[in-house]
Amino acid sequence: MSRMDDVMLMAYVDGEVDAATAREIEAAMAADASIAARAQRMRDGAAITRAAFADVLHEPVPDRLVAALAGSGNAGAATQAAANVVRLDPRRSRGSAHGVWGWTMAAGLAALIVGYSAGRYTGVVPPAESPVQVASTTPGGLGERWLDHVAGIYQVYTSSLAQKDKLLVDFSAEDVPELEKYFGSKLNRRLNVPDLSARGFAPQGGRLLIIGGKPAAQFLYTSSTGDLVALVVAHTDAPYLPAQADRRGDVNIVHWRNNGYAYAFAGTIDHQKLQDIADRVWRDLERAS
Amino acid sequence: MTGKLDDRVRAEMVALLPRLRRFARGLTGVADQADDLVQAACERAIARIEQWTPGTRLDSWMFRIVQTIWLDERRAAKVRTGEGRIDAAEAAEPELSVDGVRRMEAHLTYDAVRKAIAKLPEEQRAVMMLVCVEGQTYKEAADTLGIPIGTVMSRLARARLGLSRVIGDTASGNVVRLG
Repeated sequence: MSRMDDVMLMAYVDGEVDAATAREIEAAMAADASIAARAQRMRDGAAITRAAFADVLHEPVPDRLVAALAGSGNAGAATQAAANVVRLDPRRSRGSAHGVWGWTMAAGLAALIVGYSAGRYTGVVPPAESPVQVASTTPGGLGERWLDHVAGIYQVYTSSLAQKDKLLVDFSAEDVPELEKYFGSKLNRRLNVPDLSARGFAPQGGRLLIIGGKPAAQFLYTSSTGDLVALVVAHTDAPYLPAQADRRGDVNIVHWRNNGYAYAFAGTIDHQKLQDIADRVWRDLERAS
Repeated sequence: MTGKLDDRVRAEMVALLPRLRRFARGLTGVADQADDLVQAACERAIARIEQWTPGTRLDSWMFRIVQTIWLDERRAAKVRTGEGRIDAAEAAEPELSVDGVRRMEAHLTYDAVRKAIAKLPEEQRAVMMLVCVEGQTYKEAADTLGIPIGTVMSRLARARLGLSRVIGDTASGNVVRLG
C-alpha cells in the first residue's frame, strides 16, 4: 500500500473526506479486509491515545501555573484566578452537555441514583460506611476519571466488534467458569460473571485491565441485535458509593462502589435499559461477594 | 484589534490549563517538564497578549505557544548537549509493578501508548496530540501549528502508522485466551 493510501484512509477515519471519497474508501474496505483492518487500527489508535492522556485533565493544576497567569505583582488577579481554578473544574472541560458531575448537587443526586433503593444497600453495607458520600470528590486513587478509561476501552472494543475482529477479547460462553476463577484470583474475591441472558445479553469476552495500578476485570456482552455492554470491576480505596448515572461521549455508564470494589457498567444502549440491566448486574455481584 | 489582558481572558486561560498540561505532557512525556513548559507558555502569553486577536481561538494560540517554546527548548538542548533527545519514555515510567502483575503490565495499553507517543519525532507528536487527543480538525491543527494541511496529514499518517504497530502488539499481548 502506498503512502497516499494511508493518508486517505486516515482522513476517512478522521471524518475529513467528502461523501464521494468516503463511499470509494468504504467500497475498497469491503473488497479488501486488510484495508478495513488498517482503518480499524487507526481508529483504535486515536481512541486509545485520547484515553491514555485523559488522566491529565483531572489532575489538580499546580498553583505555579495559575500564578503565572495572574501576572507578576497583581495579587488581586492571582486570587481571582486561583478561585477560578476551583470553579473551573477540569472535568467541566469535557463538554457542558454531559461533563458536569453531580457530586455537589445533593438535590440532583436523587435523580442520579438509578434503580436501587437505599434499602437494598443497607443489607450489604456496614453501618459505618453507609452514609452516602455526596459533597466530596472521591478520595483515593480511583475517582470518576476512571470512567474515561471505561468508556475509552468500550469504544475500542465496539469498533473492533464492528469489524468482526476478535483481537481484543477471546473467550466464549463455555469459558466463563474458568474466566471467573482467573479474574477472581486477580481481584481477590469470588467473581461470578453476571448472567444477563434474561436481559438478552450473552457474554462475549473478557480482558484483564490495570486501573489505578491494580488488576481489574472487564467483561463484554452482546445482544442478538448487536448491542454491546461492558462491565468493569476494579479495586478501590474509595468509600461506598450508591449507583450513579454518568456519560462519556455517547457511552452511558452506571457505576457504584462497595466494599473495596468499584464497578462500572457501560453501553451505548438507551440509558433506562442500561440501568435496568445494571440492576441485575448489581444483584448478581453482591450475591457473589 | 489586539488582545488585552482583562479578567475574562485570564479566566479563559486558567480554564485552559488542564488541556495545556495534557498537550504538554504529550510533547514532553514527563510531568514536571510539561508543567515547566506550560508555565513558560503562560508567562509568554501574558507578556505578548497583544499578539492574540480577539475573536480567534485562544486555545489554539496558546497551544502554538507551547509548541513553539518546546521546539526552541529542544533545539537549545541539542546544541548544549550535542544529543538528540531525552528519553522521556524511560523517565516517565510509573511505579505500578507488583510481582505477578508485572508481566501483564509490560502490555499495559495506556502506558504503551504514552511511551509510543513519546518516541515519535517532535513534529509528529504535536499533530497527534492536537488531532487525536484535542479533537482538532486538520485545518485547525494546521492553523495552530502554522503549517500546511498537507503537512499535518503526512505527519499524522506517519504517527498513526507507528502507533498502530504498538497498539496491535499491545492488544494481542493483552488478550485473555482461555482453553
